[in-house]
Amino acid sequence: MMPLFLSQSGEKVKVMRILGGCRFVTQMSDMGLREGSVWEVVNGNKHGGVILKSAELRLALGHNMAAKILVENS
Amino acid sequence: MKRNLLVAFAGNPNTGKSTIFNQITGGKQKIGNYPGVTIEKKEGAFSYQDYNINVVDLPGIYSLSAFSPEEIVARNFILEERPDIVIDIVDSSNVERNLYLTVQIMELNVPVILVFNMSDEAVKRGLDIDTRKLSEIFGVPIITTVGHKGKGIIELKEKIVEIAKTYTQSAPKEIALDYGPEINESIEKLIPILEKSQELVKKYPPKWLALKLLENDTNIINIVKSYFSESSELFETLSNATKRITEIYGDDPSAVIAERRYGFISGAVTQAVQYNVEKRHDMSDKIDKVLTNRLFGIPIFFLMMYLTFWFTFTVGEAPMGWIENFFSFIGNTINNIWPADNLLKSLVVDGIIGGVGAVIVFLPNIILLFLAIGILEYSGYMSRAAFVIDKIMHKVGLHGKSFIPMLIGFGCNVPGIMATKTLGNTRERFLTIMVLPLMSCGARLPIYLLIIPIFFPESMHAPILWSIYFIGIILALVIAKILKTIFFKGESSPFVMELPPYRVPTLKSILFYIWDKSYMYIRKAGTIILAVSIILWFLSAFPRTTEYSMDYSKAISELQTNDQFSEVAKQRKISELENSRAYEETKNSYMGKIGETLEPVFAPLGFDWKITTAILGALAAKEVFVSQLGIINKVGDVSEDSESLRSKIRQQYSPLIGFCIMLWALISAPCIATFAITKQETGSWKFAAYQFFGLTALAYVITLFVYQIGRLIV
Repeated sequence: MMPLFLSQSGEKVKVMRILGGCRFVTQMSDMGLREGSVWEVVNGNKHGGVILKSAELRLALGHNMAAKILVENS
Repeated sequence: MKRNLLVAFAGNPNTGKSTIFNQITGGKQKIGNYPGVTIEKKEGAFSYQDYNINVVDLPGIYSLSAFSPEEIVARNFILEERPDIVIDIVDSSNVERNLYLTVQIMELNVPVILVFNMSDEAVKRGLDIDTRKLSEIFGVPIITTVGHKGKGIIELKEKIVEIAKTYTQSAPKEIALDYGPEINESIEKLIPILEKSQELVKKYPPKWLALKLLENDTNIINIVKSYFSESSELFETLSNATKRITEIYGDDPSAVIAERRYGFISGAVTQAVQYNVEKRHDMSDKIDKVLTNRLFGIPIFFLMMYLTFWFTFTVGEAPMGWIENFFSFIGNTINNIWPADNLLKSLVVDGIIGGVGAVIVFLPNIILLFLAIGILEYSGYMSRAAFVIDKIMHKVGLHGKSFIPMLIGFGCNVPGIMATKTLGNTRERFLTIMVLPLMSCGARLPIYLLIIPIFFPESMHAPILWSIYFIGIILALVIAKILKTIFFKGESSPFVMELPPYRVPTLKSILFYIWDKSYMYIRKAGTIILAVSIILWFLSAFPRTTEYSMDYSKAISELQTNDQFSEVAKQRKISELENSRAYEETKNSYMGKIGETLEPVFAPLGFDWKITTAILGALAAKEVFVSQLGIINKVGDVSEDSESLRSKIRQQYSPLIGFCIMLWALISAPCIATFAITKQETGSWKFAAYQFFGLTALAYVITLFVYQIGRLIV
């Protein structure tokens, strides 16, 4: 597992864990970012945010957020 | 007799909800706030067949979990106002995620119509949605629409009326969602206990209450606590159920329930939605690779901002001139057909037309800025820009999204502050509002345009102007950081934003956007500015001077009959006399007196009583500074490129003072309209006062520092 911001553009990643309080986790899952979901990294950036894509949904995440989401390559 | 219906619009952000709302109400709408919170409430109405239908646009939300004020507002509206029908707008290209809200709305047991909007785009993306099947699974009617083309609106109206006609008092069909045996069982156990309080279940559907209790929804638990004591059977049953479910699933009930909802939705979507083509690499992705690139992203962002300003100010120049001419034409016409020199005329010409005209002159700039912002917004770039700039903004405690209101603030601070509504987190929102007046608005531009050519060589004009804007931005970031560390403590909210696919914006949506924003500006001119113009006029027109140092009227009429001078020289002498009369009147007026009284306060900044008076006038609207300075320097009414005023200023002041004037104009107290809107948006006079006096104090300290240090050097 690695924090999301370490993933690279074009990779497919699977969300393994979301660190943070219940509120944060729910907020994420309301937007479709749940444990077990698979995403394509449109734009990875070690020092900034990350853009994820799944089907027609694109999410932009700030750097701090990308640090709280642990993923694995899938 | 027509029957009344109440319909609520719900849906995720970016689903084209507002477009449908505008289409169905024909653009007629009332904008207010929900009680107690500063969330915008849009209402509209239309008639169809035998019904008067009132429509309320609920805030765009992702779920009804009551984590954000928007969610609470939407949920309470449905529960308390009991709309006859809830219309849930779904983005057809993104069905799965959107349906999560649908499920939660249906759990509230209200009649729902699902609207699958932007269906044309879904087709383009190779999505094949079997709406009949979905409608069967969910047990609600589905209408497909293309909002910006107005497709499906009639069908939606038809469906609303059809449901209203068959509407019976019996509750609508329940959603066929199976939460699993343990949860179902717990719900069954909780319902009869809840039903012991008739009052409570009259307000809220009991099954929904049970579900929310299991989800540990603090909002609902607090409500229930006022009906049942914490040691009662209800809470005992609840805690047993929670324990059992947690043991069985290894997860708390809220997670299990959420899982079930997703399960239900993904099952439905698998059955009813098909991806026809494996899409080639999407166009949007390709654009994103460039625009949000970690190297190019920020430079592209600044380039876009530069283009926005360039467009606004270059294209805006010509129409600004037309409007200026128009207002002076009206002023002159009235002057000519109303020969008597009386107070009422002075009020109309100098007070009302002069004051309101000075503000309306910036309308072209405002419209062009919103045109540019509208294009950025509707094309999908704006959310990328927020993403790109988020890291910098985050460092000072702001949010990536804060930059959008700040950008609007360069046009006019008032709509900028109103646009902070998009920031969910109250702390970040207030912080943004506090520093937003440091974005140098269009009304401050005339001051710079007057001063810069006086003291600085041609080649320096543009760099000096940019440096003023830049100082404002840097100050905003620094002040935000300081406020954040001292007053707005706490972690900033995470940045997650949905990125809509890039689209070519439609003319209609842009026009509507411009109208929506510019209207606020015009209204401000018609209300606050009008009132303040009248007050300012009063302060500078009263008390009426009775004793002059010489008899001006006599001198003027003597000159007019004098044949010694040429016509041109005569005119010049007359206007000189008129100007010195205006000077005496101003010096003697309340405004002049206040200026003189305050002079010692401003003297350390290098400002004399004349500048002080102009500063006071600028409180109404910053651009008043220029005309006030004109009157006081005996050159009559002026605009920012008046050479006569420039030469007067050049004689009296040093470049350092000129720079200090610009600094003061940039930083000091925002105008009255901004003050009023800050009060409205934060819901407190206190914040508006902090902003007003805080910025003035800041301006004083900085200008004092610059002037005193500068004097030593120069």
